[in-house]
Amino acid sequence: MLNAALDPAGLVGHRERLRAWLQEHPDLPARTAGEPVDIEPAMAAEQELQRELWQAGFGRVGWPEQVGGIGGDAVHRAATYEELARAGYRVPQPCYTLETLAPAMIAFAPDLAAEVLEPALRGDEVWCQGFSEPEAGSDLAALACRATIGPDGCLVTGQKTWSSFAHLSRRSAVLVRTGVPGHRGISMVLADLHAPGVTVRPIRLNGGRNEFGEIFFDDHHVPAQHLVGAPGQGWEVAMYLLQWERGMYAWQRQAVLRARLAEAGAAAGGAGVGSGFVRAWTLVHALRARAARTVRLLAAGANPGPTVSVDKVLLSRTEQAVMDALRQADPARFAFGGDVADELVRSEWFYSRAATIYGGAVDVQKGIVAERVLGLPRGSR
Amino acid sequence: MTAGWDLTLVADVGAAADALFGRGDELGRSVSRADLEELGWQDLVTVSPSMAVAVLARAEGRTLAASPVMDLAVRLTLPAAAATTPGAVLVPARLVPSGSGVGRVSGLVLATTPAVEGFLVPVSTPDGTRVGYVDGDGVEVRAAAGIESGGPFAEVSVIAPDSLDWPCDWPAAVGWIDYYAANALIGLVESMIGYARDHVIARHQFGVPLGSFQAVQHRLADAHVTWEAAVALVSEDDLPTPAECAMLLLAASEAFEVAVRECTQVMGAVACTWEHPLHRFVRRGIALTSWSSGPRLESAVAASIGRVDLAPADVL
Repeated sequence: MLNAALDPAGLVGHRERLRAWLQEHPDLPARTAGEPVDIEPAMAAEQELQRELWQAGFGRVGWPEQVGGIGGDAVHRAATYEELARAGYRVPQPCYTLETLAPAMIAFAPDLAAEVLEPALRGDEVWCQGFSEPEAGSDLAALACRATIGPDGCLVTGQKTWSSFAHLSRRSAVLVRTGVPGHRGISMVLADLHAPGVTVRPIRLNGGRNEFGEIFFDDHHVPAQHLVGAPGQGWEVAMYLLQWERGMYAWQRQAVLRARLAEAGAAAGGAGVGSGFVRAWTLVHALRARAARTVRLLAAGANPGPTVSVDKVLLSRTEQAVMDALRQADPARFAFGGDVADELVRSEWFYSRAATIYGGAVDVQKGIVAERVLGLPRGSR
Repeated sequence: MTAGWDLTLVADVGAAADALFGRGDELGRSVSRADLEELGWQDLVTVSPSMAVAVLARAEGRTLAASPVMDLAVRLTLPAAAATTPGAVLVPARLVPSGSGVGRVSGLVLATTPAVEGFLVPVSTPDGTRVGYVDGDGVEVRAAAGIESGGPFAEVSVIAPDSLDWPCDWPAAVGWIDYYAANALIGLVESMIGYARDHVIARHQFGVPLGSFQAVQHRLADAHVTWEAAVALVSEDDLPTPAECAMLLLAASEAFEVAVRECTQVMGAVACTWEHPLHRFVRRGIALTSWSSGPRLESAVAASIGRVDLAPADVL
């Protein structure tokens, strides 16, 4: 068990303790090598890794005590993810979503976070976002999924889609319309996807994995205390949450992508790699430096502002450059390889094509960079 | 661990550099070694060599100035006696071996350094690279022709020195040259995007500013993101590794190429005139990127891939 008295400044010590523990436990689940093709068993193994980390104390590092943590901040969690990737483990996919939802819950609904967050952090539950709708993608404020607020909570009716891991999730942070059209009429609720009035269907993507899901609500009851923030505060919560998606998700991905490239580079004999590979390596290092800065700001409670859109565009470029480099490293194997590992690379390559779409389309992000970073005049859309 | 720059000091040095190099209203100032010494070069190097080179090279690039920042950066790899010897550092097109039959060493120098004083010339020896001093008397220094005639680069060809007095960590010197060039490119691109930004805000077509069109916005956003990627790679370590410098220069070179394409496009015909200064930045950028070949940079980066620690405790 990790010493509960974590020194918040002891980032190097945290890395060293975790590194040593990983070396002492070489047979943990969710190693990169041997990842199954289907996402369901992959997620199960990654949840098991979360449990192991939680039990040993490392999963608690970086989270506040009220949600089961032992202190430290997002910088410690970032170090944890990178150490996992370094040691040949996958960053547990539930942590991608948790790194966006949990900070928002802790900031806007601390009592609710204290009540329900720990099972997700320790790997017993998967959570998902419920943001996009069939008619509300980039124009998220046009969402129509409605919640009628009553004295003991609200009734949610409508549809969500493109929710990562929805069919494996126990809970979903759902943006719902509770008031006037536009940003101000939006609230966020934490829905229990195992409760009545919810139907979830997986969406199989072009890479072959059930990455996403669609969620149908039919008079689904959400208790009043499961509102995240005040009624009408949903847009503010979502914008706060998206900063974490731009910063921490980019950090998690750089750790994974960097490890992938290093492994492939070593297999190719280092100097034997081509221009595209070197460019991908360069991009992933730029992303690492950039995301580290954003994570530091977020951990310090600062608002990175519109510059996080730079991180998002850079992440999209990097995802695609890395997967293109892995494809080009051995084009014939990429096309015709029959191993599970080959199938996974193909699946990841397909998923990387969506990197310019999910989490905020880069077309929108470039508009934000142009108008709010470079100061260009507002366009007509 | 990264040394990390003192951001207050960076701001102070940036302001001092602005005063020395100009703020872009007057391009192409000539800044001497004495000017940089007066600005506090020695003190800055003591605090952080990378910060000193990066901030000043960026100011130089932003204003198309001519200064010996690169010379001073290369001197960081030499013993103190050599570092204080007057003269220009000769960057040879090819590092030649010592011994009989060496003949001449040819390469580029920054012409702002008084060439008549002499040259520091690196030569490859069985004991590693060493540097000797060559007196400048009688040496022909020709302003480099071509892309930036009238610019700061000059070509020289000197007899290889007999006496190679000082050891030189040549890979580290090349790293500093890359680091200097990358930061100068970052400064160049900053100015190029600034020109384009000002243009698309002021210029109206179809009754609205050009910058309100999504196609124009996306071009400049792409240029900005590519520039930010290079900026993110500027190492704050006291002594960046040659592989880090190569990676930085690759990113800065890409930022430059993207800026050439996108800034030229959104500025339209005016970007293609002699009158507008954009072409001067393009010319300097082409000169800077010519110093280091892509394959050499890529090889340096590729060779480092298998050696890197995947979780260094440096940036968080």
